[in-house]
Amino acid sequence: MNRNEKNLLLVAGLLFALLLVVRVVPFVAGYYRQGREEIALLEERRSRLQALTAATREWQERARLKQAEVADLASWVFPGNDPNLVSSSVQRALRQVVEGSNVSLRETGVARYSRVGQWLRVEQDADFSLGQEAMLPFLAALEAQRPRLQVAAFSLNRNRRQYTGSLTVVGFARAVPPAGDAP
Amino acid sequence: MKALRALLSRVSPADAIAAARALLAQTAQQDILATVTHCLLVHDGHLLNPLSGEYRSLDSTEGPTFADAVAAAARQLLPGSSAGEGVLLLLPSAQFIATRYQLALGGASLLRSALALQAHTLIPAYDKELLLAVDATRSEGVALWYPAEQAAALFPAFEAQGLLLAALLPRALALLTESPRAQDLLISDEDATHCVQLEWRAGSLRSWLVVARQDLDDPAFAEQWQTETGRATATQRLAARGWDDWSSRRLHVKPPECWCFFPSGALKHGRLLWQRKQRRAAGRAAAAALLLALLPFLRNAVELAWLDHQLAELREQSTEARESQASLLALDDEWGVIADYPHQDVARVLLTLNQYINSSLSGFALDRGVVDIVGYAQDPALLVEQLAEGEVFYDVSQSRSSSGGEGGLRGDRFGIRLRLNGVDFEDYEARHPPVER
Repeated sequence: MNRNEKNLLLVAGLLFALLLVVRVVPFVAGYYRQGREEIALLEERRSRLQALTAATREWQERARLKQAEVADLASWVFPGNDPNLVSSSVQRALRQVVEGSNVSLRETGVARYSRVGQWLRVEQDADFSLGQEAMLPFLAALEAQRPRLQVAAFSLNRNRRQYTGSLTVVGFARAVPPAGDAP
Repeated sequence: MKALRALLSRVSPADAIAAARALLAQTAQQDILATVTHCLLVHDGHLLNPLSGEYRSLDSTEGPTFADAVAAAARQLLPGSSAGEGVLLLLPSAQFIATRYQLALGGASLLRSALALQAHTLIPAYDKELLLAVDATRSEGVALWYPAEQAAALFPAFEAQGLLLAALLPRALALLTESPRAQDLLISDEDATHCVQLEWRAGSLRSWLVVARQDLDDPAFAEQWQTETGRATATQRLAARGWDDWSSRRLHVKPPECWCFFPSGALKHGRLLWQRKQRRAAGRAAAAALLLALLPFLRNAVELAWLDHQLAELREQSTEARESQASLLALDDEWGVIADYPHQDVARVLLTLNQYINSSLSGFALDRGVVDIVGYAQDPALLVEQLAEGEVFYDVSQSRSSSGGEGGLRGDRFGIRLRLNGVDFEDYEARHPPVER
């Protein structure tokens, strides 16, 4: 090996060392770090699964309760999926509450409806007047309608012995029939 | 630290290099000696395997030189020997030159160097290069010499026969194997042409006397030989007085390193062995370093595999829980719009307000969790504080300035805005955003 070859070999060695320091070592360190991060992630996932496994009965119970709750909710949902028909149903329900509580319905507004996910949300405004003695029965009747009718807004003004007010109630119907229902 | 500095100041770079070379040479010698598996002995024109007693005549073997003849005979005596098995060749003692020395020098390498430098004055009759063998740990004794040229010629001759000539040893010194080194001995080695007597005292070679048998015919020489040999004080005698002695001894020779002569080829081979050993050690060290460097990655891989395995098992075990969870989430997702609708209990709100405002409320409005009330109170600021302290409301503030009214009998007119606890329409609409029609 002559001197030039030795020099070339030395330069190649230096370049290799430089490459090792600048590229290979950071790459290897990064690869190792990535491995540790992946392990940390899997360990966290393992902890979650262990907790989930330990709470199997609890989740089953919660699912059962939720199904019962949903079955109850389903009975409160307005039937149909046509916005106009559902609006009429909401108006009718509100009218029944008002009339059953000795409250005078002065005006009902035009129902507003919007879609929330697969649900049709209908908002109905109404103005009313009532005496003080009808107040609590009316409010109790409204509360009893939950979750069929939810109170979004309620206002009341006293004018001598008479109260006038307005309210907005919300009702829900399915925007699309649930899966499995016949068309 | 001071001691280290003193040591460094005493040792010059040249000394350090010389010491390193000596160490390397010694290592090469030890490595080549470690290969010795066969021993052959030259005696009266024969090559003998002293262990088996088998021999070949050097006259009958082909070869233009002594070295070729010995190598050819060695091949015949060691037919199965491979190139990795070293051969120790025991040569007639008379072929070695002995000189006495007495040098008060510290250090074996220094003594060897001094003796090598004095070689041409110690042996003026021989001007060619000589190999030296000496117990350099002793400041006085006998040094042995052997022509480097002859030693160098033997190595390639053996190599040509596929044999590795590891070292040469004076035949008489092979007898040391039969006795403890510390014992005082008088060793005689005789063959058809020469008589050799050497004295081994206190673990070192003290005299080496050689005479040709034909010189003993001269009475003056014979008398001188008797006188010289008679000076030896050791009483225990070991003698090999001829062919029969050597062939019947069944010697298993353990070569004493300091008395061995190493042909240059053997030393080169020794250095190669040393280098190979170094390379092997370096390879092992590199492999160990690589393994060490790989250990963290190996650990990661093992941990990942173990975690994957555990996750697979846990997924299996948590199937029911996950199904329940998924069912719950699906129902929540589907029915959340209705189930999560914020509950505004107007009656409860009014009754709560009535505790603080005794029938003096003139206006009440509840809109998506925000309550605005208007009425009369003796101290509207105190009312704000009282409402804020309760659990039903939060974020209580005056929505209009207070003003006295109706002669001050009913108190000041106020306007307060407050929010219902647990009613968050913003969060609800963020989770279930409506699409207006």
